[in-house]
Amino acid sequence: MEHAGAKLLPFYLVVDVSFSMEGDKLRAANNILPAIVDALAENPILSDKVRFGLIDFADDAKVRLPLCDLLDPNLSLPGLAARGGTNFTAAFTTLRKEMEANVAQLKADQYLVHRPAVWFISDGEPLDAEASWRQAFGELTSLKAYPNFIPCGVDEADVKVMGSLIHPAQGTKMMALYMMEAGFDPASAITAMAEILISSMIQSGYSLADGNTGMILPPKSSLPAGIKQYDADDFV
Amino acid sequence: MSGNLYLLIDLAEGPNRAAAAEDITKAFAPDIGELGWHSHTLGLYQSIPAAPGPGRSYGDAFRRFANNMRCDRAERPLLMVVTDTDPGGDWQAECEVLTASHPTVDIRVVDHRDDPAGLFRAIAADRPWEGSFTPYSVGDPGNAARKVRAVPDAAEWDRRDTVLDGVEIQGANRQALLHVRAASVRGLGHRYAGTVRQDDYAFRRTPSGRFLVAAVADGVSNSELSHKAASLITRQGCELLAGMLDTTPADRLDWPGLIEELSRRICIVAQPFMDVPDGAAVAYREVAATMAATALFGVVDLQPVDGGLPAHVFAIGDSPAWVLRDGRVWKSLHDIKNSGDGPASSITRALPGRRRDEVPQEALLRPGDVLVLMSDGIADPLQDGSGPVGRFLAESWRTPPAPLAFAGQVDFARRSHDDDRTAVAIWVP
Repeated sequence: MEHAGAKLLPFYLVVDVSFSMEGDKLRAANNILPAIVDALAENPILSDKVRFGLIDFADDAKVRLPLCDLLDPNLSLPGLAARGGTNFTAAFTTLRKEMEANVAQLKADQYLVHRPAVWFISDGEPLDAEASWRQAFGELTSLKAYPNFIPCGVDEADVKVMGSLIHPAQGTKMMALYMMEAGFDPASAITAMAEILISSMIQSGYSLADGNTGMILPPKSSLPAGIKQYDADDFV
Repeated sequence: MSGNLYLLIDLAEGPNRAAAAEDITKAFAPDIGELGWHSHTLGLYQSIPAAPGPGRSYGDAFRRFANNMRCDRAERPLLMVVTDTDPGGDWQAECEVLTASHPTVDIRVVDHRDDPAGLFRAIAADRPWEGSFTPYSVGDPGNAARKVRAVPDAAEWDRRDTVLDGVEIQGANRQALLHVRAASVRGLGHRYAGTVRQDDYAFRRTPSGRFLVAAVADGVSNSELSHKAASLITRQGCELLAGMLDTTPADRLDWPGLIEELSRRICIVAQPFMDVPDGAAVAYREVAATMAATALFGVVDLQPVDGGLPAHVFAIGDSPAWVLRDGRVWKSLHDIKNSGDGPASSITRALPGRRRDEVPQEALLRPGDVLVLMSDGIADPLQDGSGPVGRFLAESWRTPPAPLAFAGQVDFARRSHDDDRTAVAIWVP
């Protein structure tokens, strides 16, 4: 009963760390969590409700930061390093297991857990079989506490593949895909996506504090340069 | 008077100081107990307490002090620095750092040969007033409670941040029939955003004196003027109920009729703020986008039945009524929300609206019982009453607290709970 009734909004950042991410892109990705910490420090109402987890993936997927309070003074943020290829199945499966375990634990601790948000950053196409990662994604999105899944594609990421990961893809609470515009600098695009994530986190968090549920994405008009937003129905 | 005393004792260089430190703290002990002060002893040295150390660092000592202070929200803590050496070195700079981060700290320097305990007595005697206020918190108060400073709402400036009451309902010989404490407190979220408190309450005795009626309403966040709906529901709701009780027995009140009349009145109040022609019919749904609020009513019959007082409760939406029994057990008069599985939901019913399947609840209040009408700002952290918030409120409300203390308890800090809070508590003596 220690946390009875406390509202919680879990966020997962899932980052591709295949070898193609090495260099500026990975440096930009490593700056995401510190930027989120800064944003939370400036928004005390929000910081009491938001939890963050970090998973990276290449040939395999690893939980680099279990779901936590980013303002915990005892926390040290992990650094991401490149390894291997791009395996979506590993990413989705690890994410699902981690999310299921976290949500079950938080609910056992009596938190009021809101629907998790997943920000998924990749710079390339998956190397594993499409049937395999589609199935893993299907298992993730058919959970009762399925996540709001927001794919973010940079560099060589395929817009159709990434677009098919938007979840929910329809209805009043549909999510979106953020893609780097062709020719834009991929590292800057990752930084811009972090800005979108933070803006969404702040708006969703305050909306939650106001008694609403649901993930809010920033309006298209406020997107940073170099990023294009797609909705799921852009791909029919 | 009372407060928090921090003793910072110089233990640098030389074993004699350790013994001196012990004497000093001993010398304080009886005074601290008598005067109601809490004390904390810190050493002025570089590492571990209770043993003399080599160097003397005010920086280290103040950081340890500040660390102790983190949870100390008393108004004016006293820091006595006991040293026989002129505080040179880093003293000046570190003092500035400390007072910048903890501006209310009263810092006094005293030589241990100059009777520090005597100086402390003098300081205490020089403050010939009693009482202190430490904000209430349950568990981790959270970042918001530590950091948020309340901002007023520029447009709705005449809406108060906090309102409270403490009254006794008396019988013919001025004997107490009921004790009432009520408070409505703006949540940290609204204080931070500079928007108004959307909760409200009201209570009144009926003209015949037979009943006490009380109401709590929680304005729906999404609609900007919901606080107006909450005020209307509570005040006019109590008026209407008092009128109805003139002619109708309490167990046969026309609750759907009350809800309909209040909804009609909300529509009238909302219309000038809506983009519709005067006198045009507006749907409840459209009005609710401008203002809407939950409604909870309680009626306590002051004429005893079977050694208790009959209470009648009716609610639309998620503001619940509870009974605190024996100062220990919380009993809900409704279902508890969000107790199922699946992700949390925030959907609640509100006025303007019509009664659907809501039915009035009845309870017989026994001596010692407390009927508490509350908004979800309290009900959410209270959960089923068995957790820390339930125990905190049960202990605090075993007997009627001072009205200002009651408001402070309603305003308890707890991580992630930043909603407006309202409670009307009715004790049966």
